[in-house]
Amino acid sequence: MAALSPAAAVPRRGGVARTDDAAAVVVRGLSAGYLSLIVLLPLAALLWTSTRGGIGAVWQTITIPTVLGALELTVGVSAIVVIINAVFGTLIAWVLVRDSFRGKSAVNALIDLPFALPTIVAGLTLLALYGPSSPVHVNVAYTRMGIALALLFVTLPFVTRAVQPVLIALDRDMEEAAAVLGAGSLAIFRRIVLPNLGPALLAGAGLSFARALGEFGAVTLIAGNNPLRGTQVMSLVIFGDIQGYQFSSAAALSFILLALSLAVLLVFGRLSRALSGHHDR
Amino acid sequence: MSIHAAAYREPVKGLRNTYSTDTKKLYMLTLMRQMTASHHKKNDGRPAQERTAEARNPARSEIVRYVIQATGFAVALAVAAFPSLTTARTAHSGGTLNIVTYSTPGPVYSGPLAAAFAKTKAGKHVSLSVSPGPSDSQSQAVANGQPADVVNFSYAPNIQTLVGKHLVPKSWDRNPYHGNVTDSVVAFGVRQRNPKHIKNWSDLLKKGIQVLTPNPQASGGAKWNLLAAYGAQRETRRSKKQAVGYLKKLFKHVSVQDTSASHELNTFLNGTGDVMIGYEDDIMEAQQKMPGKIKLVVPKQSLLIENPISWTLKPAAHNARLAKKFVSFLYSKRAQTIWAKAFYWPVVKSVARHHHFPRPKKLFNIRQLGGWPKLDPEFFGPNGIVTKIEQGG
Repeated sequence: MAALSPAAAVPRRGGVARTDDAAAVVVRGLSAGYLSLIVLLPLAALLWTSTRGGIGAVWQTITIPTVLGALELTVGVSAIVVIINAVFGTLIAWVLVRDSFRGKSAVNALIDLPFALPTIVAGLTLLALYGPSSPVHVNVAYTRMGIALALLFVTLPFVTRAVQPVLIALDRDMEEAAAVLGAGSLAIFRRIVLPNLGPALLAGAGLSFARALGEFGAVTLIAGNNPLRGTQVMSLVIFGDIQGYQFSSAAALSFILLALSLAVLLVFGRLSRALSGHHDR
Repeated sequence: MSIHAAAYREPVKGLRNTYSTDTKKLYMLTLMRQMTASHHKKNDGRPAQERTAEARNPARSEIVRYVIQATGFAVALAVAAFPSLTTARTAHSGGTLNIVTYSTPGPVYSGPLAAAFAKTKAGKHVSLSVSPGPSDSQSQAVANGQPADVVNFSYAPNIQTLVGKHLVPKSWDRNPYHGNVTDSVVAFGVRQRNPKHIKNWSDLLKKGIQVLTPNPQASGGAKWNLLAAYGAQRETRRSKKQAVGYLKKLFKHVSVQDTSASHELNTFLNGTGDVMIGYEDDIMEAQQKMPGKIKLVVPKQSLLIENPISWTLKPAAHNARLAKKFVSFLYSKRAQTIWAKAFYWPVVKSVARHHHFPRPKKLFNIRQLGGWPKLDPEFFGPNGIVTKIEQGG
């Protein structure tokens, strides 16, 4: 889970490695090389393919009404999902850290399951549960609700896992002090706990948002993929383009999605850092 | 802790006698970036600075050695895995034929057709390597260099793409069968006992009827469906404008637009929709495999589906002769019978005579509607009729 813990939660160290250190140079070079091979090179290739036709072509692709609709839906539903999971993710983290009950460790392990399950299986399961032959008589398949449900499922762990370690490390003296000074539990949560959780919460929310924007596996079965009914998300438009060998359009849309995810991560990361910096002072 | 311990164990084996236990511990601590003074005090009570200075060099060179070992291991692993990444399948003694096909015939090729071909003189010891997938992307994959000796697509434009790239002979359709290996017809799949009484195209527009057809942007099958709907209107003497109007109304009844015909069939079998438009062979197969789940209805007017085939000009394993022999085998009585048993209409008349398929009263083909080269851009191009409808225009 180390990769998921937000940068803000890790205390900064001064003077990480000396430049004249051979080992440090080797390690740094290796990690840079690996990162380039696995992440940067494919991204560069995508950027190159998508902008080969010029920025004008990319713009032309975005302004197609079906694409615009899909973009709106994707961003909108992702935002809603992130807000819901920020609230419930924090709630779950709170219960897991501050409460004690039987089967707590089982619940704790359960949180990571959406990561472990192949997303297509998640989609299939949701379809079986909330589809036309639903045993609980809830049919949201092929609607926007279904898309939101699938995204809620796959993005659940991000906020919980980001907030949890911070909550564990949180010094309870502060809360006790506030209580002694006469603050109610709501005030304590709002003025003491929330500001402390803020950076981690934002970092987790940023990851959730980025994941929701690009999610394909979980939504592919449960989304109606119908532009006329507004049930086509961006990843499905891209998949359709690939199947119909519209590769330049697919690349342009991927580029847009990528830029959007990057922007979300940057903004949330900046916010998260600003909040933690403010808090330190 | 366990991860660090494992990383630490490996390189230490070799230097069990070279360094003290303390050095090993220090190495691990370096890895974890936790060389804190308090820790050393706990270990042996000596001042931290002294210990650190003494241990830094062996510990650091240890990291370098570890990194080199790990890199070596990774490279060795990559080299070992490389052949399995690049070569799909080892060649059989009689050679391998690479068959790239659209989704549905995949099992027919790798099952009964492969067995029957092996029994012929030409096909002895030949193994078939079958790659099924969505027709459009399969065609593009071959254009981009996927090995293919024989290609079988769901509609002709996919072959035409390869003709343009000089991968398929220009004369591919110059045989008695217009280059098609199988036929079928656009039909409806409805619920058992047809509770909504769907018999014809006009019934799809009845109030409350939910229709399934794949997204035409992603699926070649959807193109057949929509052109059948359009053509049926033209066949019943409606004007072009009226026929386009029919398509507009039809789209209002489409609830789900799956990314492929097989996805669509699944959606329908799982309980969504009153009617799905699709290939007759797909629906008949589902009818047989899942009795009671779906019922075939053939409308009065419908479009003949023609699935083109060709051997390629740049065969993967330089076995053009074998590829040609395989294609002519597919037109043999035995192979055409196998197709018929898989619910495809045989194109060879002498075989077709023995197999009766539900047929529409009025059957028209794509050439009568204007042919693919004209229809594909007119309906599905960037400014095409269907594209505009999908955009809400």
